[in-house]
Amino acid sequence: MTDEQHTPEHEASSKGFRRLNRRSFLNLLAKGSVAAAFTAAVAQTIRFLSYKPPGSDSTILPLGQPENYPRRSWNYVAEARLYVGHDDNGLFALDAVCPHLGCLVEPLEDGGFMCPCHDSLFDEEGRALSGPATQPLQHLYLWFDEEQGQLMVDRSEPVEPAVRLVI
Amino acid sequence: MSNRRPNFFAHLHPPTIPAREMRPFYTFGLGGISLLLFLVLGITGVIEMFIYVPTPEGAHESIRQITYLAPYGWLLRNMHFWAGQLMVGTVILHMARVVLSGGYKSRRLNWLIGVALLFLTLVLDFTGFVLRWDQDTAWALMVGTNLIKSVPGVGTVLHDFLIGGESVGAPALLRFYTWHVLALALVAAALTSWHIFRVRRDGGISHVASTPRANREQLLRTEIIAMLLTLAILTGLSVLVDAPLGPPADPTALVAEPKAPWFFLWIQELLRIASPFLAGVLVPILVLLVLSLLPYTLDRSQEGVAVWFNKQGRIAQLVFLVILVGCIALTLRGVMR
Repeated sequence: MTDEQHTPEHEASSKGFRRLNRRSFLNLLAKGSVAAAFTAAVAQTIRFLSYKPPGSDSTILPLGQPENYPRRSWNYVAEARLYVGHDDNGLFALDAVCPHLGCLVEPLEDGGFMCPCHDSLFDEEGRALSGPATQPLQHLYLWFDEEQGQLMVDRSEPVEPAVRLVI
Repeated sequence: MSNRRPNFFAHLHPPTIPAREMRPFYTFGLGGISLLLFLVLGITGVIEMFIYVPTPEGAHESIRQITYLAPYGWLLRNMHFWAGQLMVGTVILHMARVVLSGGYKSRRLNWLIGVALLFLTLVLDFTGFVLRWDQDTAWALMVGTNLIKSVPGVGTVLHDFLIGGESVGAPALLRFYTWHVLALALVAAALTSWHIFRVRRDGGISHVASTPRANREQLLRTEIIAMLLTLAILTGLSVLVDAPLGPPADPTALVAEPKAPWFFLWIQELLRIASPFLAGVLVPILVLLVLSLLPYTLDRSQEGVAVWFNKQGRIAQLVFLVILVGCIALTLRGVMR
């Protein structure tokens, strides 16, 4: 700044110490409160924008009658975004959501699954075989609800791949 | 003409500019064309807002009303779509012109504003694509928001900030809508004004000293020709080729071939081979960073301003072309799938 006034304050600060007089104090106070108000406003705006509506989707979903899933079959259940398999040991639920970036995997004709977004391959047990996915497809907890008379799944509860539901 | 008082639009132009730099094959008018497309996008976009409904139930239905029922709605939507696609191209070509002809020398601040505008153009195109709320959108959004989650430390916070909840739904669409029609558009408008102001402040577009000058009328005439040609191409495309609209978004339906919008196909290709954070976050940031730093590192010489393929900037030009060709090659690989 070339147009600054040559005042005693500046002399003082140029000598290496700062003298806090009434004018510089009020100056500092004014700048400080503007900065504080601005910071608070930005912080609150970020908090406002990070708001999440209360209540979340239930992770427990009905899958219908067990009879819909005959032995040696695979069925995609859209509402629950998973595959229900039925092998010789019983029923199980395999998540269709790709652990890489969340697309839905598709069954291959000769067994296993492929993610159409980035070509990750999985075997029938959900193990990642190739492609960018490093985690397996999750097996999800499955049970028969006597009261409702239908199969239920909890999408938030993974189980070991070997777990089967026998009815 | 010349004895009349210049009107406001004439006032936006310098009284004279160097004749050599006014020739169409120096800049190809790419900056001006990008500005024109941005204005077209603003106007057509505001008109679309009168019918478009930013809710998961209403979005797809209202786009069909714009496209099939509202008079000339198809043309409006096609023009908005094609202006958006063309602008990605003209902005990138404009950037290429600036690098290859040493345009950023001694005006590096404006180069940085330009890189920010490239980023904004891509984000505006992506948020606009999301508003379609069809099946392609659903997957691109799923992948994009999960990518954000892969950022170490702040990923989940950023993710929730973007989509306003645990999973993509009504709050996410409303947020993308607000970013698209107002927040990002305002920032882009402000930066564009600054970008153009800087050109005037830096003494007009970059030029070689002491060349004959052309006057404002000649400049205006050239600009009007470029404008009419651009509008002719835009209208022609919009009449002949319809903007795509797939089936309504359904996050539970299996889709055979989910594809990112074309300007992000190169990232989708990278995601097939590298980890999400590396391919989807680090590499794009790195590309922007390298571009930003070109005039600060590889092309610091003040020589070669306004000279196509100037010797002093060869390395920077090469680096830029390698990045550009790499992105184009990956994009083509994605298109051919």
